Order: sequence, then structure tokens, then C-alpha cells
Amino acid sequence: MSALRELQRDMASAIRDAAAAERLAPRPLAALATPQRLAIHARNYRAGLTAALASIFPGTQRLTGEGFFAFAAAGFIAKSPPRDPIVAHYGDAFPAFLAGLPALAASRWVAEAARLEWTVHALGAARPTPPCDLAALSGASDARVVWSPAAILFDAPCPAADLIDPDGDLAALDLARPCRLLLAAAPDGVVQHALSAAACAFLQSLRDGARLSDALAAHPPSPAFDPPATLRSAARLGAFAAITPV
Amino acid sequence: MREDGHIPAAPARRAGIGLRAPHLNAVLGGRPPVSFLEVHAENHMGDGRAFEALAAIRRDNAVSIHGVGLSLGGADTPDPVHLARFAELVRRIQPVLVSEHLSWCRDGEIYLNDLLPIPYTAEALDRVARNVDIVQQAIGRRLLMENPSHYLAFAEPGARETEFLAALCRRTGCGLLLDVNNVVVSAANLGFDPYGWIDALPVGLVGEIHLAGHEAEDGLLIDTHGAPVPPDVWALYAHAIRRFGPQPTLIERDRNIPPLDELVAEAAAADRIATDAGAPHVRAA
Repeated sequence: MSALRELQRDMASAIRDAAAAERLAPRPLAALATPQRLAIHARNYRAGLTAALASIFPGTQRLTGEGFFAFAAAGFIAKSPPRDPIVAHYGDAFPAFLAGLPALAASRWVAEAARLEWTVHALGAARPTPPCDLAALSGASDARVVWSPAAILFDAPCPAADLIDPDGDLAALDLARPCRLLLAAAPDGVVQHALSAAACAFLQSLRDGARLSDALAAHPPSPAFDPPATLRSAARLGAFAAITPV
Repeated sequence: MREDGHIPAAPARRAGIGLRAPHLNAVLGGRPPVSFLEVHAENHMGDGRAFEALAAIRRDNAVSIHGVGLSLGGADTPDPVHLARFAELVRRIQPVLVSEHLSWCRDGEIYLNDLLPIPYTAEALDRVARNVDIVQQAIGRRLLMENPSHYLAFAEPGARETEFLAALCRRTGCGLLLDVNNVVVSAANLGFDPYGWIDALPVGLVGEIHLAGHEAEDGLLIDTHGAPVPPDVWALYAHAIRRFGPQPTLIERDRNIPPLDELVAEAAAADRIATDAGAPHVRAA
């Protein structure tokens, strides 16, 4: 192994892991490699990533408190270090990490809130899809939609959108109330459109490639579900990149 | 590039500012009175909204692209996926300057999100020169390499930093991005004379200068980019201008980001210092 590679592996270990730094201490890594000086780089690494996570998951940080969020972020950074130099790409696995924390076992809604925040963050970088013209449906016996990469259906067993609302009243929330949303990139951010259970299932069918007739048969109209209105809303928000008659 | 296809010329040898997210909308709404705007490449890669915003800004402003993730001081060659993103951004934006760091951040598949120093050994020079060659071939133009901040001094004897930088320029044809704040920080932490460091750097290599603030902590200076440019950095900047002549100069701020007007005022202060330092001629934009 080259001397440079060996040095950089040692430095990387010391930066990522304080225990490794202690083990490496006797080695002549650097003339001025006092723990204090190595710690500057270790702190830069952790602080930078913690700040990046806090900027992506502000609602989750409010829910957990800054102290627990920092603890969770430290654990996540140790377990899942970045594999891409684009910091905005870091954190997609953070919601799943939170879901696996024993301390949050009785508060699964924290991970669901984080999952919604990551979804909004990811869509925020996407280029919006223009509204789709439903005229393609007229005269067609059946159709399929091409789902837009700038739209996501979000389905959670708790009120995730209310949980991350900075103005929301947490004490008044029913934590067992599901949250179903159509999220779509828009010119000035990300639009969140609330859906009924049936409307969400209907759009999931279309997203997954079902023919319109099959999706309608599986999810018939009801007082809570108006299929034409759901189609119009989804098309207006840019959920469909195209509608293809079949 | 403007809609008429005109590519703005290289920035005047005057000051610009780092463009960060809090000021994006303000800059989209009106051209700030600075020579150029510099962005981190990694904040605008891809084909999404961040790229679109930068492309819109580029139509009316000179833009410089500053990479932070290529890990050119690393033992490995640059990640081909990231290099392709970098080269694509340069191709599409046609920036007036392109720069990266004399540092590393990648260990195998893991990125350490920091600008880590390298020992200035013959092996390191070979590796960095190889990596700079790879990047310059990918982007088809000259790269400027920035001197890093140092907290550690490596045990293995190596060249002086100025010698290493000069050798890198000779071998690759790259230029230097002289970060004056990093010289001040490193000089304080490692115990050398920052003015002597500037005087040891050959004339003709510097293509851009960075100015920023630092903070003192436990007897060390930390390169935070979180404060206004301090007097010791301004003084060394004036010395550098006297030696290297006026250069495109950037006011960098990454933390405690102030209102845009404050950054613009610091850029104007840099222009005044460049003029007062005896610049015989400041080229017009």
C-alpha cells in the first residue's frame, strides 16, 4: 500500500471514530497530531453532516428536541457515512435509521415525519412536470398514465404532515390518523395535496401501471372518492408525465 | 451565457462574492454590483431546480465554479461519476473560473465532508498531478488549485507548501487559487510567517484570491468562513496584491451568512485595497 493511501486510511479512521484515534495515537501520523488537532477535522465532519441533516429534517428535530436529534444524527453518521460528495444527497436512510432506534420504538410517528421530510426535500430538487391535458382521455376506450418523476404518493399511518408543521399543535393531534398525500414539485416548492384512502389507492394503481378501467373497477366512486376530480387534481399538479390511450 | 449566445469574459480583476442559498432569490431578482459570483459545484449539479437557478443567474452574471468534492489530494483517482457531473456542469455553465482544493475527502467509497490536508511528499505530488491532469482533460480547461487550511503538520518530511504548489503548477499547467485566510490560519497553527509564505510563491501562478474570516479557539485559528474578513487577512491581501497584482477576488461566507449588502460592501472594500495597494491598472469588466 502506498504511504499516502495508508496515511489517509489512518486519518479517515481517526476522523470517523474516536476510539480509532486513540489506537492510532502512538503512530507518527503527524508531528502536531495532538488529539485536539485531529478533533478539529472530526468535529468538522460530524458537525457538517449534522447540520445538513438538521436542514433537511427541521420538523423531525423539533419533534425530538435538538439534543436527541444530535444523538441520533451521530449514530446515523457512524453507521451510514456519506457515499456521495453532494451533501444534499445525504440522509435518505435517516428515516429508516430512526425507525430502528429503540428509544423511538413507542414513537414510530417520528420516523414517518422524517420520511415525509425526506420526500419533500428530494422533490424540492426536481424540475416540476407541467400539468397534463386530460383531453387525451376523450374518445379513448381506455388509458394508462406515465407517472411523473416529480410526483410521489405518500402514505403514512400517522398525521405526518401535521407533525412537521411548525405551526401545528402537537397536543391536539390524533397520532393514529393516517396521512395520504400527493406530493408534486412546483415552481415555488413542493405541493402537498391531501387524498382520501380510496383516492390514494386509485392513484397508486395508476402509478403502478394499471389501466384506467381496471383502477376504476378496483376503486369505485364513493362519497369520499370522486375519480374525475382526483384525475383532474393529479393532472393539474403534474403527477402525470403523459396519458397514453390503449 | 446570455440568450444571444454571448459568453461573458473572464471576470475583471476585481472582487466577487460567494453565492449561497439564502441569497439565491435576491440574485435572481437583480444583478448584484460585484464582478462575479462563485458557487460550490456540488450545490448545482444535475438537471434539477438548483441547476436551473444557476443557469438563469449565468445569463446576466459572470459565474465561477468551485468544487469541494473531487478529492484531488486523495490516493485514488477522482470518482468517475462525480467527475462526470462536475465536467457536465462546467460544460453547461461555461464559468469564467473553475477551481478545486489541494486536499482530500474520500476514503474508498466514503466521503468525509471536509477539506483534509496532505503531506507534501514526492508521492503526493505524483498523485495530485495525475488527478489534476484527469480533471483538466475532463473539463478541457485550466483548473485553479486552492491552498488548504492546516491544523496538522505531518511527521514525514516533505516540501514546503509553496514549493509543492509551484511544482504542481509546473507539472500540470494548473493555476493557483490563493486563499489568503487559509494562509493566515495555517501560519498561526503551524508557526510560520504568512508574509514569507506569500513571498515564496512564484509570481504568475495566482489566478484567483479568496478572502474569508476565521475564529480563535483553544489557541488555534479555525477556518470557519463564519465571520467578516478580519484585519490580518486584509493586510496580507494587500501584500499579496502588491506581489501578484490585482486578481479576481472572492468574499467567502458559509456560516452566519449576512445580508447580501454586507457581502457586497466587503467586495467593494477588497476593490479599494487592490487599488490602494498600488495596482497600476484595474482592467474593466
